[in-house]
Amino acid sequence: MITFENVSKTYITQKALKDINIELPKGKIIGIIGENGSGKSTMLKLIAGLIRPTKGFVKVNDIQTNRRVSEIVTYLSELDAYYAMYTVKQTMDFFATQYKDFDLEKANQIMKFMKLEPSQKVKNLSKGNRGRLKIVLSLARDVPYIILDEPFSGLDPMVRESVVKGLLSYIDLEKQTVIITTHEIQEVEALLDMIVVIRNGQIIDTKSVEKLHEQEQMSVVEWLKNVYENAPA
Amino acid sequence: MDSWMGLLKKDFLLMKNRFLVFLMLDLLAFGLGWYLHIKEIGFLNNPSLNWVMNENDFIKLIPLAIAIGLHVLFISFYVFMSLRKEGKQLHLWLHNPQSAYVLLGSKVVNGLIALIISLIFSFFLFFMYFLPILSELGPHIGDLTKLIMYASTNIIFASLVIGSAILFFWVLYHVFKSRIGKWSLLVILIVMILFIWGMSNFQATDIYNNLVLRGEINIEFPSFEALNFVESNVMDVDQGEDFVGLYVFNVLIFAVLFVLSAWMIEKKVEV
Repeated sequence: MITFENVSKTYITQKALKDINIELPKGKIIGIIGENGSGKSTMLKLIAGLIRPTKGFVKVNDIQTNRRVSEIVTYLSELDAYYAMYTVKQTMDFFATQYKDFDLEKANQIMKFMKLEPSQKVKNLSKGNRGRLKIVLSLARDVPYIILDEPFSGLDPMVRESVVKGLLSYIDLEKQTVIITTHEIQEVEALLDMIVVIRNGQIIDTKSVEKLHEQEQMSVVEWLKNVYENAPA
Repeated sequence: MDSWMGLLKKDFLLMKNRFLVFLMLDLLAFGLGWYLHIKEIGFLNNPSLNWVMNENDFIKLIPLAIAIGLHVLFISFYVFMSLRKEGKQLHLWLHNPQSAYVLLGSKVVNGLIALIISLIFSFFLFFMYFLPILSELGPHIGDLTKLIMYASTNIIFASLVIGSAILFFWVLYHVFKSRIGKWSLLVILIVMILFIWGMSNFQATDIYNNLVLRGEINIEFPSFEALNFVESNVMDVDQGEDFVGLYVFNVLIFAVLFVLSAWMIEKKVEV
C-alpha cells in the first residue's frame, strides 16, 4: 500500500501539494487525474522517492520513500529521457543489469508486441516508439508498484492503443499496482479501478470506477465534470 | 557485479566520444611540438635534423609537456561532462537501486581509467620524440621510467582531488537548484571561491605543514646528475623529495568530498 500522511510539497515558493492524506490500495490500477500543474507529477515523484515532502510522510509498504525505493517501484517519467548511445536491445540489457527483477524474456516479448526493432538506436526512434520503449522498460520489471507519469503524452492514437493493450496484457494485478496520470481519460477508463482527482495541490475526490459505472451509471468524464463544477476553484 | 559492470559500461559509452577528443588533444599537442620544431629548424632544408634532439630544441617537448601537466584537470573535466549529461535527465540516473556511492564511483573510476589511458598515450607520444636518440638514452631508461611513474602518480592524485571537488560542487549545485532556483549558480561560484581561498590559506599554515610534511621520501635519479648544470646554474634535477603525508592528506580530502557528495545525492538532491 502507498500512503500519503499530511503531505505538503513546496518548490522554492510554489506550493505543489497541500496536506494530502490518501491510501492507494494494492492490486489496483489507479488513475490520478487533474489539470496541468495540479500536482499529479509531484505525487508520483514523491512515491518514486525522487523528491521529498516538505511536510508529512510518503510510505510505500510502510517504509518512508527515498531514491532507493526504486527496488520495488518502477517509475516512468513524463519526460523523454534515454541514453542516446544505446540501441533498443542495449537499453534493455542495461536495465537488466541495474534491476534484479528486470525480466529480459518478458522485455523481448513486450518489445515484439510493441513492434520495436532491437537493433535501432534509441536516438533515432520516433517519439511514439520512444514512448513504447519506456513502456517496455517499465512493464518488464517484476515489481510491485508501477508508476506511469503521462505515458500517452504526445503519442498518436495508434501508439496510445498499443500502450493500453500492453498494460492489459503484461500487468499482473495479483502482484502489481499501477498508478497512472493522464489527460487521455477515455482511453484508460476501461483499465482503471480507482480515480483520484487533484486540483491546486489538493485531492478533491476519489472514486471506484466500478461503483461509478454500476451505481451512478456515469462515465469517468461525466463524473469529472460534476466534480470540477462543484469543487472550489 | 553485473550492476557495477553495467554502470561502468554505460558511463564509458556516455563519454566515449569526449574521451576520443581528449586523445586527439594529446595528439594535437604532439603535432604542435613538431610544428614548432620544424618552424625553428626547417623541415625541407634540413630533413636529417628533424629527428635529432638538439641542445636548444626543447621547444619540441613543450606543448606535450604542458598537455601532460594539464592532466591534473582531466578527471574533473571528464566527471563534470559525464555528470552534466546525467543532469539533463536526473530521474533516469537517480531512479536506480544502486547506492549513490556506486553511481558516483562509476563516474570517478571511468574518469580514472580514461586518465590513465590518456597519460600512457601522452607518455608514448613523448617517448616518440626520443626515438632517434634511443641508444643515447640507454643509461637513463631506469631513471626516466622512475620519473614518469613519479609524475604520473602525482598527476593522478591531483586529478582525483580536483575531480572530487568538482563532483562535490556539482552535487551541491543540484542541492541549491531545487531550493533557491536561479541563484544557485551564483551561490555555488561564491562557495567555490571561498573553498579555494580557505584551502590555500590552510596550506600556508603551520598546522597544515605539520600534518603533511611527514614520511619524507627521497627520490633519486642518479643518471641525471650530468644535467645538474644547466646554463651555469646549478639545479638538483637528479633528486627530489616528497612526503607520504601529502598523499594521505589528498586521499582524505578526496574521501571526505566523495562521501559528502554521495550523502547529498541520497538525502538532498531532488529531480
